[in-house]
Amino acid sequence: MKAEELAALGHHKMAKAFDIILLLALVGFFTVIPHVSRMLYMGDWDFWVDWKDKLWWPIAGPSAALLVTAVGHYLAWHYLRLPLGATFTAVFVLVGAWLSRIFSFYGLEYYPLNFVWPATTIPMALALDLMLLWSRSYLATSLIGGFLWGFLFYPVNWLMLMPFLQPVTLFGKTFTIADLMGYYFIRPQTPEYLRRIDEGTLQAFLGQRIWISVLMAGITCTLMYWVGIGLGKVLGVMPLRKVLRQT
Amino acid sequence: MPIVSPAPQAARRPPHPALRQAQGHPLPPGERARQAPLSRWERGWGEGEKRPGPLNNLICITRWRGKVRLGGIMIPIILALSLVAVSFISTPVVQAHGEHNLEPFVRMRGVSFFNVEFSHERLAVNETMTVTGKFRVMNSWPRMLTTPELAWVGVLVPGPKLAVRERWVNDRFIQNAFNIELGESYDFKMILQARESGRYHVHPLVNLSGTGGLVGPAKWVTVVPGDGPPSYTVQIPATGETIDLEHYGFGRVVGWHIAFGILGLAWLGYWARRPLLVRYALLVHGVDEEQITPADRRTSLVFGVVLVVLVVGGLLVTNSGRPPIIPHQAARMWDLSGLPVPRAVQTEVKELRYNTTERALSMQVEAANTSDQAVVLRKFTTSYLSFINPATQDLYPDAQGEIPVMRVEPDGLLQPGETKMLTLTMQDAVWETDRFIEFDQPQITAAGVLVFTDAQPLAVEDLQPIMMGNSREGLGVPWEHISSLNEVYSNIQIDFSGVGK
Ligand SMILES: [Cu+2]
Repeated sequence: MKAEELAALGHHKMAKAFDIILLLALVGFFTVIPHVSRMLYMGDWDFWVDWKDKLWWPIAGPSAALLVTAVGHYLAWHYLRLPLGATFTAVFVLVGAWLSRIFSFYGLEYYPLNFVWPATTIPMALALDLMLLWSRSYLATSLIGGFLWGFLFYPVNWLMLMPFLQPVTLFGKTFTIADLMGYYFIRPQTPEYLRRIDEGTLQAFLGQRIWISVLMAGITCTLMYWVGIGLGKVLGVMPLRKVLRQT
Repeated sequence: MPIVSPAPQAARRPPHPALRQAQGHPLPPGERARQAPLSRWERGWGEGEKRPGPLNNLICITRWRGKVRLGGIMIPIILALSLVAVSFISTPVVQAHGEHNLEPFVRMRGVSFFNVEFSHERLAVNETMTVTGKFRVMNSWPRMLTTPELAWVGVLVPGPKLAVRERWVNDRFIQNAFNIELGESYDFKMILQARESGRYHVHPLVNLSGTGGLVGPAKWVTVVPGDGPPSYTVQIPATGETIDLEHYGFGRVVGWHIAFGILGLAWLGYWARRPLLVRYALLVHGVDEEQITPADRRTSLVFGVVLVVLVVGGLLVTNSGRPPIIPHQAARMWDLSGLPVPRAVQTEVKELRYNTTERALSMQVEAANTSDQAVVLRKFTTSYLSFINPATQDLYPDAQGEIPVMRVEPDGLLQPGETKMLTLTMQDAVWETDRFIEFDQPQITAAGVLVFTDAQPLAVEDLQPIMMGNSREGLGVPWEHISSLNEVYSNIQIDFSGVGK
């Protein structure tokens, strides 16, 4: 069969139906990821605005998120030569996160949504897909796209976080609006001392800790990209190859 | 990548009966002839016959181990769908009430609550109430656990239906965690604000680092709808802006999520509206990156430019003229000292005994009054429970009849300089229903605090409406009239005759 015939087959009713089934299944799959994966890895930093600090969150957040995203990124390119896997994953993982915030955090427990909003990874995911499309190389994508993923995570989400960092004063004590929300919208199971946030260290380079964090995040994510691809191979390619070999 | 052919295993297995019938072989006895004609998949393909392409192989049906099955990419799809279903079913319920979560030995030997007082039992949304009280971090702390260094006070409610506006510890405004020491007592005050109507079992809660939350006596609080939605406004000093914590900053969050979301969806839409699965077939066929056209590459440049403009422009705009900001404040208080605790009496536990038939905890305590004032044993307190000596009802005309009782023998005052052997008995099902005494524990122990008061008669108006136990309120002796707090702790001698009956 010639390639043109094959390509034409793609417009067949049956093929279209399967395309739609595939898309729906993947949408569903990545929408539930926040329930099974982000809860374990990105955890409380993604849940609460008073955890979104500039030492831990800029590193832990993007590294955990990249793991899942790189799987989608890799499989879409590997099987379909489509540079959309990372964006697809980022979009629907975020949809899943919002669903859990709206129905569980707000609906069941009544935390206001401005306290529990999730971080976005869509811009970095798009950058990752673009890098792969332009370079056609996982190595180049890991070095540039992976680095950008970690490096941009904090700045991009800072766009939303900034207002919450304004200081307020109550009874002679000053803290951020984010802190105040954490004190007020009480979490009996996550007491204040469990907050894994920057408490101050001696390595305050030029007073700009955030640069160290985002550089660290960039480097970590360059490596994490390969962990994600490895995971994609293990989960998505090896079992399928076994099946296809049988046919 | 193989093109579909009759599976190799088929040769080794006996062919399908219908196939044998079609090939003219006799059917084995007992097997019925099949009426319907054979499908292509069952019959296989002859020499010159056109076989289905890899697309069919991939997306729908394959032969696997001699049988016709769904195959190729349908397998991961079905797996993914089942994972979706499983995750939705098993999405955990986020919080239980959790008052009996911790092991019994932690709850009895961890924290004892005193003089817990709720200002309201009914309030409207946005109205505030006060919860005050004292707690003692016990010396009998189970040392095989981490010894707590930090504590944080709050309330145990299912979600922030009541939110905590203010926390005061030892009269200091302390919102973060603070240091504690074993054997010390602390005073707390919390201002709660109602956010959603409902009826809640509200416990004061002390979280201890390394362990978890220990709860005090609870009260049922009813919240009724108020004038409007919940609201908590504060002023930002730098800008003078008054904001509402219930929705401040949410517009900006939604705005950016929508902006980036549209960008992402546009990218997905651009690619995903073309045939997808055939791309794999083409790839197998050798059509690799040629599937991406020059037009695709031009479009990707546009997306790249929009992305850079959004992110860089967003950062420039947000950063220019932004208000002053500071990092999250993590300062925990390390300089707190415990309350001065009165100690007019020296005590020593001689025996602690639990009678399983009567569900009675009893103890023999030698008490010596070392002060120059007569005192009386008022109550025994452990965790959120209090047991009141009924003989003190003459001194303090508090709640009658309903309170949990501690029988004290011999009865009466403990005079200055006097030493007495007291036998205390507390008979209550709560020991077992609330899992305070359990026999499957490696440490069957009990602990609590004996509270002696100065034995001066008080009028009703001098008494405090305090929690006498979980959900039970009465009039209690104010802190100023307490003359001694004595911790008691021992392993329990159990009478097993009633176990299992
Ligand atoms: Cu309760």
